[in-house]
Amino acid sequence: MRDVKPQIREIEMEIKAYHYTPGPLGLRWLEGIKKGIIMAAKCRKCGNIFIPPKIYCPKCFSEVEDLVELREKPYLASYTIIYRDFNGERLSTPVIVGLVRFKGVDGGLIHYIEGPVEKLAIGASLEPVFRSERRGSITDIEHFRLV
Amino acid sequence: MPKIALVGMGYTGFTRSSEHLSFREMVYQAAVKAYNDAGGIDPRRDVDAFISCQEDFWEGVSISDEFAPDQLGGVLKPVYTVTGDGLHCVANAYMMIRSGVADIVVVESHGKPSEIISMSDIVWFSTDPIYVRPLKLPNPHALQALEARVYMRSRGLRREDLGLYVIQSLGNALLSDRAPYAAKLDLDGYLEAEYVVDPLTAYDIARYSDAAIVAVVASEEIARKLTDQPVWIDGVGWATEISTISMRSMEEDVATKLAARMAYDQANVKDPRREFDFAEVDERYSYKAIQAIEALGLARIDTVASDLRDGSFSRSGSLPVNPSGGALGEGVPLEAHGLARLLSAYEQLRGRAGRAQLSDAEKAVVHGWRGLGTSSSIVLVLSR
Repeated sequence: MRDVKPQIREIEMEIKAYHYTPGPLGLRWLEGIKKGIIMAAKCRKCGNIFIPPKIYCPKCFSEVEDLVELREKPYLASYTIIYRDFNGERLSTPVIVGLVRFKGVDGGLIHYIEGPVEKLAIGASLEPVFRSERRGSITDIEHFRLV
Repeated sequence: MPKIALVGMGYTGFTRSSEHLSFREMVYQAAVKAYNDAGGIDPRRDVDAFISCQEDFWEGVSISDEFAPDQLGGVLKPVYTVTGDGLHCVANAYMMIRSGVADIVVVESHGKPSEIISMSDIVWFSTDPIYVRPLKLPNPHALQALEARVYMRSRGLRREDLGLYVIQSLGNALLSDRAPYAAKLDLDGYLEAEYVVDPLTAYDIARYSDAAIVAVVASEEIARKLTDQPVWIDGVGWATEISTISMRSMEEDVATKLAARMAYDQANVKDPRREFDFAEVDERYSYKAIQAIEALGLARIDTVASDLRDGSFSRSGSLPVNPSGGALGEGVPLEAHGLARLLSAYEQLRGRAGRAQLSDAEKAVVHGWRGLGTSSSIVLVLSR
């Protein structure tokens, strides 16, 4: 038994071998991120503005075609400081993760937060910090900075 | 309308690891005990259908439902798999019997997390691949910590309150034979613990355990033939909130609230705070159990914190919650966790909870949740 187990453990799952389709609105949204713009989907029927974007409105089930640019600064709706990883190992540097929301917009983005800890509070104002080299991914935003 | 009952349950495990048995062999052991408990039924002859709750990624086997029949005695019989908490299996059995397609249905769920080497990766793999997963957060529990902070703030719950819950649950678990993490803990000990994902410490996050649980569900007619102690399933409800985490309310557990409403309507429960003798709730996180207590209507939004401080949910309180411990003491055997809650309720209602037996146990509410990052809840109303 003992001799067999290590061999079984060598099997690795193919969990990285997938393509994921962001969908037409998601694609336009990611193109916006690449340009340094954060947008939200807007439902023509019920007026719901939401993020992340989908081609269906989660509120009224209508098909959604529009994206609108979000010009106002987002705010911190919740946050956590991660001190240890899933296996209980202490991180060399704790990281802050937040739920980033925009006023009047349903949903939001989960992302890394940086900035002075004394400003870390629910409701704190944020601004996105984009990477200089961008490829159309949520990680084109390096983090949201507390302002 | 004819009633539906639990007539037998069996389990194996509730250990940190169980190396000597495969998960299928664990299910076999649990099934043998459940069939014996149900008056000695023979699954090859007496059972109409079988339902299994499992998830391919937990098994490390794709299309793992194909592996479900043998160890239950279900070969050449109707068998299917539900990807949900074990209690979702019970809901399906309930529907099959109520609709008349079966009179006796076996449900099983199991978890062997000790075999999963890349648990963190699998958990993270359940997040949205476009908007969340690329962030590679070092600890996926962070997603629940975001909710914990919002919930605690909205209800005035402090760190000490989570501590009270944890101390109570780990203490209750000392009365259980199924709780490898049971402990006698005091508030100082709790407060000394460092945060893992602020505001949650390691005490607030349930660990894993290996277990398999099997239950036999039957129509009233069959139940009365098999046992003189049927546990009636008076209502079943389930609901799922939205898949996008950032769109969820976080201030309340909406899915549990809706699931409870559905189950209470069937069971004609009007005043849950007075009608139930005890509750079994998911406590994969300390705060989540408190949120469930409230969503089940067992506490009011404005008094859930003071009720907790008053000891209302302790074994001697007005509504004991997890009187023989919950996930914090037992560990989480993945999708079997809901059946672990069902098992505890079943034992209480039959007067077989041993040292954990409550003096008054006639009617209970049982709650399940699918865990980290999910918003699927299920609620059962049971009576003896």
